[in-house]
Amino acid sequence: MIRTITMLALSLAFAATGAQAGNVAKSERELVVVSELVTHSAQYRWLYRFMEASGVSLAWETLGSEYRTVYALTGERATLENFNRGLGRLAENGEVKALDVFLHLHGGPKTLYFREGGYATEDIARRLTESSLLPSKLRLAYSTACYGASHAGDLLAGGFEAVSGSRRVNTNGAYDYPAVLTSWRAGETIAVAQDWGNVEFFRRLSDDIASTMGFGDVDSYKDVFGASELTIGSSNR
Amino acid sequence: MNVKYRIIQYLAVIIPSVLFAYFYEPQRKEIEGTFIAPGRNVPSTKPVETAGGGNALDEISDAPAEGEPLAGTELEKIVPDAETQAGLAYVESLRQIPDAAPLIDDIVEYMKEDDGAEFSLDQLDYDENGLAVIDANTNKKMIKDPEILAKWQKLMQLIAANQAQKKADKL
Repeated sequence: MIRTITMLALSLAFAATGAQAGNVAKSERELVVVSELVTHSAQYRWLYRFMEASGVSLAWETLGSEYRTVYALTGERATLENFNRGLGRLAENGEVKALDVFLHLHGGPKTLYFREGGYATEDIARRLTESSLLPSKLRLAYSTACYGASHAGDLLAGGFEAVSGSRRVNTNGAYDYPAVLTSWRAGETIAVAQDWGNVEFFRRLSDDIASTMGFGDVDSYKDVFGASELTIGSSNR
Repeated sequence: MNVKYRIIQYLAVIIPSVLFAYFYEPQRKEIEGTFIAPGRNVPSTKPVETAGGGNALDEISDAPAEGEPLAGTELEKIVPDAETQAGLAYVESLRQIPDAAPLIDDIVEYMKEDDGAEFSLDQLDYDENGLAVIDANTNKKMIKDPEILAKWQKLMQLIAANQAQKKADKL
């Protein structure tokens, strides 16, 4: 009862501030899947081609019917220049209110690797804000890059409303990615969707496998930064 | 009358407490143990606490110079083996999905033999900004071999269905 009253009071307070989220219809949202993993690993090319392709195919399989259009930016075209130009072009469409981005890139602390190499996420954010229109349409950045959480502050500064990323090396993509997509599709908030992706049993399983393979800097837990209450059908703008 | 009133008073306190302890507490513990771990949904741009209690944002030493990508040799050094290990763990995790292992084994075997001409995202139609529209024909464009294409499509459906089932079952 107390919880119910508290929730009701919080909801009323939220509504009173005028911060009510706006609706975003299917026809007003677009999804860009950035997938470039092969280039930076000469060995195991098959593995990274497999991961790149599954990132794109699963996005379509799960969310294809929920977006106006799903785009892929992959391979040799997945440069920072194209990232900015491509998103910029989509933002120019007056009917589009929200641009969501799934990042399947290699990552280091505060660094994301596009085709041509790694960039400080601060620079990536700065380039995003060079467009007058783009930052007002960027909504969700979901990232499977390692150290994704260290990129979040800069990506929020670049205009995204919410960013999700792993604390250290990310190993649980096999569970997390389809879990988040399924939950996001169902209309749950990105916080709830990411909770679903963070389920301890599967996360620990993946992290432990990677750790026993000899690497210690593993922590796939993904935090959500910014507007964690976002759903596929909402925006705070 | 007084005794009756006292008994009612006690019951009014005890019954809700027992009900709370019996139903709500175990549920809360279960939720915390499986779905919600401390530190989730860190608001805004606050730095992230690492597993070791440090701060990930304080530990950055290898970010490239402003506006410049890293050079090739540096890339090979920096992109860690850990990501490959993580990738292998990813594939191994997928193999655990019922009926997925034989599909994955066949696809991986095929991809190991392929230099990228048969199974590649490069086969998609990209515009001048490098964007390709993803639709129902994307897999077909990406994979030339019809047998592998069918296995890939089946695998993607299995992954999505497996997740939807887990969600429906609440694990």
